Amino acid sequence: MKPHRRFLSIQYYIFSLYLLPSFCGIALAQQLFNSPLSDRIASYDISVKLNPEKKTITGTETLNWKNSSTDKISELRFHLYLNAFKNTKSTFIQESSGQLRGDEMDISSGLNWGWIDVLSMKVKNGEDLTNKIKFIQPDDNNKDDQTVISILLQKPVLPAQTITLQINFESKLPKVFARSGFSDDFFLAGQWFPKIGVYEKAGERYAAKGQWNCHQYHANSEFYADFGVYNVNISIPNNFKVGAVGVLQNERQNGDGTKTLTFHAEDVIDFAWTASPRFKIAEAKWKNVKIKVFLQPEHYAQADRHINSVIYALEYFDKYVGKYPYPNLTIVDPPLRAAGSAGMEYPTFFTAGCYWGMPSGIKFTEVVVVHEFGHNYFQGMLATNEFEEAWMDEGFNTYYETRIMDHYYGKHTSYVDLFGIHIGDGEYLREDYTGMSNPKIAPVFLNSWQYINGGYGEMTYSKTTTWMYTLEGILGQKVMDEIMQIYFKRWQFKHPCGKDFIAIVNEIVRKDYGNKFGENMNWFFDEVLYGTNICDYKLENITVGRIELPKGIYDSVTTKKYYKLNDGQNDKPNYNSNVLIYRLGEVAMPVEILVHFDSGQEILETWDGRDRTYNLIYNKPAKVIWAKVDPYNKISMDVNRINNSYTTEPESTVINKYFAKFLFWVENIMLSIGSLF
Amino acid sequence: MKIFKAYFAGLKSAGKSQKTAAVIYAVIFLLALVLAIPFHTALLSQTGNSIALHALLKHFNYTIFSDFMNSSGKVINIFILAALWMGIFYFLFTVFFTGGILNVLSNGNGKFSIMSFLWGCGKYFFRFFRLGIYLLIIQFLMAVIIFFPLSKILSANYEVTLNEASLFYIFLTGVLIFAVIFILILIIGDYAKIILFNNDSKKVIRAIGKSFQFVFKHLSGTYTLYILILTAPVLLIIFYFLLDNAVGMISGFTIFIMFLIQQAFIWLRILIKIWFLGSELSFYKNLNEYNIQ
Repeated sequence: MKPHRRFLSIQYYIFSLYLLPSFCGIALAQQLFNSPLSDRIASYDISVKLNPEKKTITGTETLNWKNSSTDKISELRFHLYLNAFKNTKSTFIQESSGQLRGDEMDISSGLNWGWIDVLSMKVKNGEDLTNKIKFIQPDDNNKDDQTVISILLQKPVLPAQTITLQINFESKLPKVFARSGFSDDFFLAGQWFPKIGVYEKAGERYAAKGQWNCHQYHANSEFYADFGVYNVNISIPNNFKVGAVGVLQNERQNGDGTKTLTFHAEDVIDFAWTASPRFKIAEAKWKNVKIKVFLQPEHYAQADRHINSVIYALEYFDKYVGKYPYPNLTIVDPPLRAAGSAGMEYPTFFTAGCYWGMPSGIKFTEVVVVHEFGHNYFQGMLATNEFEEAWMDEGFNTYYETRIMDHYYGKHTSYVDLFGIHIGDGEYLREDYTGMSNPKIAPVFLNSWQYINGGYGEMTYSKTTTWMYTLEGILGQKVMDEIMQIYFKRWQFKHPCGKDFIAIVNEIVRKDYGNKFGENMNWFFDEVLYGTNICDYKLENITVGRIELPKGIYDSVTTKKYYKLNDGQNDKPNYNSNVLIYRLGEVAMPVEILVHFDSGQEILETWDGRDRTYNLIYNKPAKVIWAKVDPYNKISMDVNRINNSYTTEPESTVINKYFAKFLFWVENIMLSIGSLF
Repeated sequence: MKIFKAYFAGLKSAGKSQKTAAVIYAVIFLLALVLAIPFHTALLSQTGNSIALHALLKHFNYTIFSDFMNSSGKVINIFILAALWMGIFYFLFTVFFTGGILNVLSNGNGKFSIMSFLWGCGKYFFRFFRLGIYLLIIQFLMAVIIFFPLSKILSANYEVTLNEASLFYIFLTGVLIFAVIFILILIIGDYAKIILFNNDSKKVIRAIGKSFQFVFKHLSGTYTLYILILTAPVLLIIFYFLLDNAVGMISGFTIFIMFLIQQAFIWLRILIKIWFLGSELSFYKNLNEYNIQ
């Protein structure tokens, strides 16, 4: 970083003059909201120029950062995320082995590495901080990791004071494999500028005293940032089409084959943008939200899949969670070779993912669109800490993704509906957890970089979705919706943590159910969030015996009674039916048991599920034929639903069906291999 | 004209070969039962007295299917693997039956005799077995020759192409080329069998060479005849799936009906195999190519 700093600083004086008109544009930015939605702690005015050949973004950043704590703060911390792609010893590359979600880093060319250099940093009208920049590694002490910097200030930032920093920087985008970067003339600039960390004041989240929360860039982790206002000027060759976080407010020709676009965003936690000459743009509108989809030309036929699904998501979130306050939404469809940037969320802007010729029966695009849109709520507006509590974003969001997909595309067809194979999105996510070879691998409540032996995705996305469904099953969808609405309303733009969510669950459950589920719901979260145990109930057995009435002589001194068969009382036999249920897993959940009698009568029983075994005994003229634990599939956490039921009259129709199918396919395999001769 | 003559001659031969088909079908059915009966028992023991599997009667249910596979997948996978091994084992039977089929087909009166069938099976087994091994090696080599460069081309194109449509078309082209060559190998194999049979020869490699010459000399005829007959199994598969869709397997009765349809499908596949050999034998004889030594 240091060797070329001096040379580049001269360039930056020239470049700053070049960008001067852009600052004028920033000054004229139109306000989006009448009053701020957030406390706007970190606001940025950025002016940059993209060099499409060198894959660099050079520019200046003016950061206004407000000390919202009661501390005097004499240290600032910044994320320099792109340095994760600087060498093979960065924490990101070490943890990920140079791949993310199956996309591998290509190090065959020097052009493919990524980095970010802070060329200069100074306090406006004050101290030059450039030489005070120090790389720190708060998470793992990896001295080769340069994704976090610390700067000690001569003059501390006082409570309620705002400090203005002027930063010159150069970002070199990596070849895309993990969210951000380039692929030919496609650019996705994410995590691309020097970004200040979050100073958590005492009492905020888990902070006992004021402290920086500024983690290194890890393989599993995503991000955490404060809200602010962004005014961003992007200078770029004329043939590029540009989409970004926020609203495009101005586009100006520079007369040198380039143009400068000015974007403005309010009450957002990040700014990302995309550029490519190949984009074909589709537009739509939902209520007052303008939707733009930047598609690859070969995917343009699938524009409606993006638009319809995002409108479903807007509609559903609006109805069941809260209002989407922003005036627009931008969806980006990356090209095939930039698939590593697909499925990534930023406020009002996200990347989806689709493939040419993908059948409509495979709802991959819809799932990604709905999922990434949902992040506007959990990552965008609630802005939880994804480094430390990824489940509050990815898990909650996946729960809504499955609800939306199942609602609009069918409970059993919302993921795959092709050639008779039906898979629901919710079913798929549940199986992702219940089908794990080791569902006890780690708790959900864990820093994202501490899933050393795997399980991050399954715990964060799938198990959280599964226990959210279980909570909904126990409380009912109405109460669940009330919880989520209050959670969103109370905590939007405020960085809630897990205990804040649990407090709301306890509050609403107490209000709606009293002590029906105990003093509070902590027992639930102890199991599903902090624990690793599994839930498995088994309907072990049903035994039925005829009740014989007493025979013989039973008497006393004063009375004598004689019972005999066929005296009228025994015309209708009575049966003793015993239904035996086991709790095989450690997790105890309140469950329902549906008991079916040969008379057609059905009784729905409830059990607190705590004991290891449970008996239901009936003495009735009717016999129990079958019984089923959790008949309405409320306890999604139950890892095995095959053992949830038992019948005294086993019926072999299904077995015969699969016997016939198996026989047929064995015969076909034999004939097919034989046909090679 | 010769093609259609051979086409219908083969069809007629297949029609007369019900007894041959019955023998082959019986073997296939019994071998499949060897696996299917324990599979049935395993399903019963794995699901016990659960009613969960009822959800799979009318439709596919992913939750039940996946929970079943999570709890019993290891058992089911054993059966899937065993089915593949059974297929490989049956390859020997296919080789064995070919001599019998040709012997019955070449019998002018078209009458089936189990002795004649078994005599043909035994007489030609070892030479056909060697032929089968050579054909498998050739098929494997052709797959390597086509798919190895194809994977290289795809990977090189991935680095330069801007969209996946072009990759798909490259892949499709590769698969089509393989299909054309694969069919050609099957045709050469069939005529090699006929040459070995007709000349009562044991010189397998020479028979392949002669067959190669014959097929390329009459490429349009041999290939067209094969493709014409190949439409029958394609139509049969489409017809089966239509019936499966229409009947469904949702009750004891419809399961029984579909079981009969499935077994009829297997029977027809055997007859089509006989049809191929009958037509090709007729085509070969009509062209009087008996000159192998």
